[in-house]
Amino acid sequence: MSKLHVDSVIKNYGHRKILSDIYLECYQGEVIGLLGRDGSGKSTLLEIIFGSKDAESKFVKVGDQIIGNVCDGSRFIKYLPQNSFLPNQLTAARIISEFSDEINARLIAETPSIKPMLSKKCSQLSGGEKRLLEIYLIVCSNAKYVLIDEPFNGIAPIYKEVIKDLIKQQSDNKGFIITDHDYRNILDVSTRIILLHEGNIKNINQIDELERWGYIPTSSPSLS
Amino acid sequence: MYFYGMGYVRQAKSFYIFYVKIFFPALALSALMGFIGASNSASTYFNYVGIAIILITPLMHYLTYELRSNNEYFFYFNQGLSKTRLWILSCLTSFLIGLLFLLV
Repeated sequence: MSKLHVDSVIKNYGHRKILSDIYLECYQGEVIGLLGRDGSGKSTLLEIIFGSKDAESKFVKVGDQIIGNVCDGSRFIKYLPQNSFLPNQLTAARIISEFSDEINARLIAETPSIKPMLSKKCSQLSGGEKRLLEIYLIVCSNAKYVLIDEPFNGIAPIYKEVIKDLIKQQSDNKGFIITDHDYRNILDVSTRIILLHEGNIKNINQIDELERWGYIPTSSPSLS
Repeated sequence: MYFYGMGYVRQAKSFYIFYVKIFFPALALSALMGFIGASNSASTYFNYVGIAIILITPLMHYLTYELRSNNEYFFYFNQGLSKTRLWILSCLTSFLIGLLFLLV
């Protein structure tokens, strides 16, 4: 089984050190919840792993394939950014057929929540509909690893459950790294929780560790 | 081998989507500039349009993708097309299309 190996990630913005020698491993079948305060570098870390952002230092590997940029990585890693990335001029049906292979395209197009969108242009979709479509495109891809930035942002509560089920179902043959401020849903779906704090990764085993690191207030739900 | 082949076809189709969005506005603007620049002769008109396409399409690329829809790059990144590759392909395609107009 090819693991995602991330090592020696260092990123500075000016004099501010955002990521300080990050080491991370993710296996297929694993869902890693990446938590952290605003500006802690969660999105930056995901973009560096994906290859769309440069770093002072980084080493990313999937199996034997070293990932330097998106050209190396897109077959192995897909990335859902925070904001919508779909071309507005295309219909949802066209986007699905261009983005996904035949089997995944059929799977996405036949999903009840996606079906009503198919004939609409992306510019006619609401923010939540776009987000849902993007999540399906990225999660139901052939990539071995999927990086998702804020999947629950702007999504109706009913669809949050759908997304969690989809991630759990797809994690049989994929590895996920997910970050979101809706940490309760992250706790629900994750098999492992890590916290990005002052540029370093902290492994979280108990909820009180999140409190101790100042990420959440007291009286929060326990880790499942 | 099949997988890699399919990857290139998918990338080519993605680049087509990327380029069409900037090409037609650039072509319309180039045609207008051709009219303004060379209203007296048909052959000069095509030369003007060709030069305008070569110059205006990269500008349209910059305005559309770097300034207005920067996040759309991620659609193409996920297909294995980096920003550098998109810029090179976009400029090269515009140069070839512009050259065709210059040769008319």
